[in-house]
Amino acid sequence: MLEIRDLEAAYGPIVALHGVNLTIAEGEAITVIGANGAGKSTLLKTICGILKPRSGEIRFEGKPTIGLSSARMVQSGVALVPEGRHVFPQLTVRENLDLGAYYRRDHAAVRADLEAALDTFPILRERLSQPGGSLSGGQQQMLAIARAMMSRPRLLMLDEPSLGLAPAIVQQLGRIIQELNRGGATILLVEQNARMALRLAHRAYVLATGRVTRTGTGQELLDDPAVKASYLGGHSGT
Amino acid sequence: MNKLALPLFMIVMAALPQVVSEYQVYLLTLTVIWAIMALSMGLVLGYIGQINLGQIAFVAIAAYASTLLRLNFGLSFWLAAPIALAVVVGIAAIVGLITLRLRGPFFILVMLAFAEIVRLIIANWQEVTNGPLGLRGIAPPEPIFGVSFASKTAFYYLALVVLVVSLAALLRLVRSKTGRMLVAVREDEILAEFVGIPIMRQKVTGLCISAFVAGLGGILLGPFLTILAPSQFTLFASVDMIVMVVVGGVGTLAGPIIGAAFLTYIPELLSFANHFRPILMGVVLIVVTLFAPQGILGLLRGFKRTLAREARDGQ
Repeated sequence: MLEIRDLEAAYGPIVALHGVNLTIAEGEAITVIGANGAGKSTLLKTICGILKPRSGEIRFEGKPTIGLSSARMVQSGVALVPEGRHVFPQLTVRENLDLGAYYRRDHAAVRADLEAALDTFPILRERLSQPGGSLSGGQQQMLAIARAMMSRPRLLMLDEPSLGLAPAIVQQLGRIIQELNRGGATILLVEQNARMALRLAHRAYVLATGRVTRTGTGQELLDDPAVKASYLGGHSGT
Repeated sequence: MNKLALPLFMIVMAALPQVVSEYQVYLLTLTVIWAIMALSMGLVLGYIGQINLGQIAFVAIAAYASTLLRLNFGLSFWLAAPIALAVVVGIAAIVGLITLRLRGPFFILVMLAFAEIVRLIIANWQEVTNGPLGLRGIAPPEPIFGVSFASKTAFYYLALVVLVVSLAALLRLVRSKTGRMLVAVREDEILAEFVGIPIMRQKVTGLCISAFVAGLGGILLGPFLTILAPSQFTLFASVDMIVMVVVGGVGTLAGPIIGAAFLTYIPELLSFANHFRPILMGVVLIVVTLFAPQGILGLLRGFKRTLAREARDGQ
């Protein structure tokens, strides 16, 4: 579904990705783990058209996507839940959700998707007319995911959804992401919280200073001593 | 604005000319035209989130284009006006595509330069615009559907209709999908891009709508003043519009109208000489931003809340 070949991206003179290769098959849940500054967010920004890569190739469902705007990418079925910035604080929950489906003309299906999103995140149903900024951090993250779902993406990318959330909420989020995946969405999850990410991923990539240093199934990487030492905080879990 | 406010506003504004003097009708018309222009600035400030020191250029282009079409080509007001509006929207689209890529101070400076260029062209293109002397003897709009606009009162009603229709249309706009997308882009441009909103298209659309409304003010200006001159379209006119929006309340549509009324009548009441106006505007801007950052509308809302609280506590 998504093929990335020899991707190089840079911010001016600072190269953030040095020839990254990554593939995602339809229905997979893939995770990319790595420390701060490893190039994880850059990878997502490049995939969704916000950052233009220096060289390399990105194909989504067989078609090259480099040069397409983020608006075009959303319309062709790639949605991103960005890191940290979650919701439009002054718009209501409902308006935030509607923005996720802004380009869609199939109004009946949009309504059905809204219902589905509200079933997945019941807390949002209670807060529909409240401003997005009045939600708690965890609720805002759920709103951001629900908004991304409103564009009915075939590939859903999440950038550090667990950032700054309480462990119980992170667990809940992990379950929801897994459910979305089982429901048919292909997932690309970028995380620093490696344990949660590796548990729910089919396959995983380790990114370090802009290069893929390891790849394998989630379980393989969970058991890998080097990954354990660098990303799982030794033997004790979080 | 609640549901009753707009009809009530219309009734009061429509009834006023019946009970006041001709000079007051002149002031009311001036207020209404300023309100239309302030409304256009309100859209830029509140919904695009930019300060446009060049907004008056859109007014000037519409005013001159419509008047020149009437004077030189003998077109009726009703044909010249839509052509002038189309010209303004086209220019806004081109200018917006260039300037809306710029952020903060760069946008402000380039738009200011744009307005100065427009003003200098008007002032120096003698054979067309008659330069600094301006265009004179501009007639009221020709009668249409048997309605004459020769009288001051009739013209006032025309301006009022333009204001009310613009206001109603903009109220619909800000509640529409486009309006919410504008707010989203204003609130967080980067997030909006992540969500996949075509940011430039939204901003350019916003500026074009705003230029259209400014142009509505412009086409009324010629017949109202009977004179158009480049000196009417300086930076200070854009500043006046900004002050009106800020005084009335940024991010609302009623705000600019309240601000326009306030700033047309205050100098009148105090009989200020015209050349004190820029100073007065500056002082008003400082006072309002310091003591009532939400504008008059914000003060009214605060007052309403206080009353409600006291009524509740009193029980």
